[in-house]
Amino acid sequence: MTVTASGTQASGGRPLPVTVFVALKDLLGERLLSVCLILCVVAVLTPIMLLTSVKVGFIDRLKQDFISDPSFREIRPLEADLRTDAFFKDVTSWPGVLYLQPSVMLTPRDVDFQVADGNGMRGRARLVPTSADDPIFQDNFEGAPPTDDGLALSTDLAAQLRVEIGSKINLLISRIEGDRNKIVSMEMTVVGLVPQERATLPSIYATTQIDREVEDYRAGIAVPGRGWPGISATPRRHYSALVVRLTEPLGETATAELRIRVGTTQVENAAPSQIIGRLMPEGLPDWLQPVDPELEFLVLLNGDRGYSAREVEEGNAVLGNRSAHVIGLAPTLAATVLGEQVPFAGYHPELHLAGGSAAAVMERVRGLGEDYVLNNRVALPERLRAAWQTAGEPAAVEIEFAYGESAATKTVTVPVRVAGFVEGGAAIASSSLIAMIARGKEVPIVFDPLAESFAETSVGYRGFRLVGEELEDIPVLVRRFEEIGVGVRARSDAIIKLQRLERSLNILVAVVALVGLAGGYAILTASFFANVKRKQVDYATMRLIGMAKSTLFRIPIAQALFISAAGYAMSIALYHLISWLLNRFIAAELGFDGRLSVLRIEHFFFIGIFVIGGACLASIAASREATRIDPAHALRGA
Amino acid sequence: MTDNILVLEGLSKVLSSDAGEFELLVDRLALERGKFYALVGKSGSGKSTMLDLLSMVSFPTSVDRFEMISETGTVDLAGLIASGKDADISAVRRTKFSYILQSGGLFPFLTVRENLALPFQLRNAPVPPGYFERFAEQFDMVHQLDKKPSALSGGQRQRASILRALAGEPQMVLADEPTAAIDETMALIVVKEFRDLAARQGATVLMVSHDLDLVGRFADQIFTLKPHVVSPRLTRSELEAH
Repeated sequence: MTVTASGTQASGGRPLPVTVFVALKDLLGERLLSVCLILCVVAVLTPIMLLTSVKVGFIDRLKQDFISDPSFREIRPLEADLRTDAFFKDVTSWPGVLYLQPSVMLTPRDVDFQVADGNGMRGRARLVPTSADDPIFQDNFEGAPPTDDGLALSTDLAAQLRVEIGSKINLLISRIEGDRNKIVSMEMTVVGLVPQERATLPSIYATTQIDREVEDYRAGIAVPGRGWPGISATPRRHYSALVVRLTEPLGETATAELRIRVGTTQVENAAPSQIIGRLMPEGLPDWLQPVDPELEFLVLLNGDRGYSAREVEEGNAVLGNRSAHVIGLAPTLAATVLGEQVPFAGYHPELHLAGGSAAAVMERVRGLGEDYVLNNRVALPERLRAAWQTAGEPAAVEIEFAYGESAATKTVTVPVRVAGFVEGGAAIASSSLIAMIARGKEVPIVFDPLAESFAETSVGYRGFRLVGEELEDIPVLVRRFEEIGVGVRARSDAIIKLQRLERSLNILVAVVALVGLAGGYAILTASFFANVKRKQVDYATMRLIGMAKSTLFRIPIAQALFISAAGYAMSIALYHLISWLLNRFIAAELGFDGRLSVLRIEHFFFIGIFVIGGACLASIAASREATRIDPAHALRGA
Repeated sequence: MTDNILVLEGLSKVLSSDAGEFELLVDRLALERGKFYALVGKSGSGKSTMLDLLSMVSFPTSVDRFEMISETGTVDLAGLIASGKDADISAVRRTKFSYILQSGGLFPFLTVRENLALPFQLRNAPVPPGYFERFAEQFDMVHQLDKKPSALSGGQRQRASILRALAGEPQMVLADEPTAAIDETMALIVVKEFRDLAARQGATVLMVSHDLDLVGRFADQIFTLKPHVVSPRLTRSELEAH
């Protein structure tokens, strides 16, 4: 904008607002003072901008180091507990979770391989389960994510094997069958190469499906899709708790050993009714309640993890020859039988028949006999008798157990023999049957009607790899896992230290900026005020010739706007110059691999708002003073 | 029938100080359109107080009538003062009055041209092309238009001040000792030029001066303020017309 000869027109013919015109001409009339004020803004602002930029550059660099290494945003579990689909679904919905990858093993396990074409090199590398959504395949990734017949390799492994995208590799999976080592192979194509900075070790990246097939085969489970037979059929049983029936105090040493051997986190003394009330909320019929309520039991709990049959055996091994022994307590399961929803309660004679009056209770279990506790015999509630009779009184009925409440619900159908009918709303089955079916919550199981036995169809998922959206999410997610009793490991300590460092530097920069700006604003306030006082005759004359107070009020504000905007513009220019020098010469000398001085557009925006807004506030005192000037001063000339 | 532009009746202004009270009384002051008036009096007679009151920078203790009459209507200045509305009072100052001050009253950070233009800006009035050149030519000030006041002589500064006062064709010009800072010879020239230009513009001028000889040569009518001691605590000054 230029001021034309008339002094009232901007180029283009539009008159300048009188406030702007007078404010600008006044500043131009006292160039030296105006330049000094502008330089004052520059002298305060440029060091603050540089300090802020170095802080941002330093923290950005550290963050970049963290971000480029995905392990800083990763969370893995500490314990190899089996985890359900519901668990993964729940965790995936947590805020801050970018990606969640279930894995069969707690940590990636090595797999043997051989290059199928070319050099035929053999080797071993860890097998990392993944999927196309894995952040490891975002940006700077060569090729495509793994598929069910395609693998990605870390670039170092690919270089070592002298393979490239399109090369064939055979995965070699082995297991011991009897006294023989049996090996199967999977021919895969290399479809992608993962950048070195994202893979700390030579790695093979495969889909979750491949990971599960490899580990199922190793565990002796059949993999029908590959034509690999299984050698292990019996699923592990899953008990909610262990109960030790006490006939005499167990003693501290035995209790401690028991606790260690079965992996118990909580030991409680309880009466039978309390145990049943807690673990079987559906309840048992009154006639099945323990006959001796005074009897003492020791309850062993370990949260949601539960116990396997092997741990029951471990517990009994600890108790040795004592009369007390460990009983696995199964959870009550909901099932559908003969078209009706029925809770299935696990029954164990040692628990419910305690007190030695077994005969009285057994009398009530009409017609069941001693063998009813066999795996596939159940006593149905009386209310189903009519339905059973309508169905032609079949010797066996199908019971469908469902796990989960969503589209991912799994079911297992078990044909059981109807051993009889009992009072109450719940069906009664043996604890061991219920515990085996409960296993289906963790791993897929099937029932083989011919062999009348169950089989696991997969080893399930014991581990996972979670990637957070931001570095800052990791400590929060770690705390959340701790809240639900899942121990995890993450490099959150480093992130927390970085956050603390950033906070500390923010405070330091803020203090320096506040001191500098306070001084700068004090100078501006005093200068604008003194300017009005010094020119009060001129201001009085303006009032006399008819300038309204509101117009006069705006003149010092407009001047503050010009001074601070000019100072800010010069500061930006000077900042860019010094920043360039820092990044060009000093950063390299300090071994700083990146930009040492960084300010982003939002920083410029906020600094600008702060500086120009602050300067306008600094002029308020001068503006108020301008409106108080008596126009009579013009007539008096003083 | 008289063509009054400003009428003031029954005005009293009392000023108090440690030394006592001073009361300015104006029974009636009527100024006619296009006339050149002078207000004279010794120091302390109340000339400045009178000018403050007419400029509406000071308000009377009491007044019966204080009006400005123009072709478009009568403005009740007494009522305006009583309302205390700064925006309205400022509007009257910039549209009806203009001022010439002892010091000239030019803004030092503006050129003469910009000083002349400022009243137009305040009124949002356009300046016709070449207007300032034609106007300044009457005072032989064309070559000074783009100079700052500090680059002008005392006489030129006062001429520039007079030009600014008359440039917007005001109805009433209040001039406060405009020749105080220049020598006697120059003062005669400046006042003559001032009177002639005001007459051509049709403006009414009230010029305050302590120099009766000077204004006596040019004024259509002279008002005098003569103070007299009423009591040890009260001095009264009344306006007399000649």
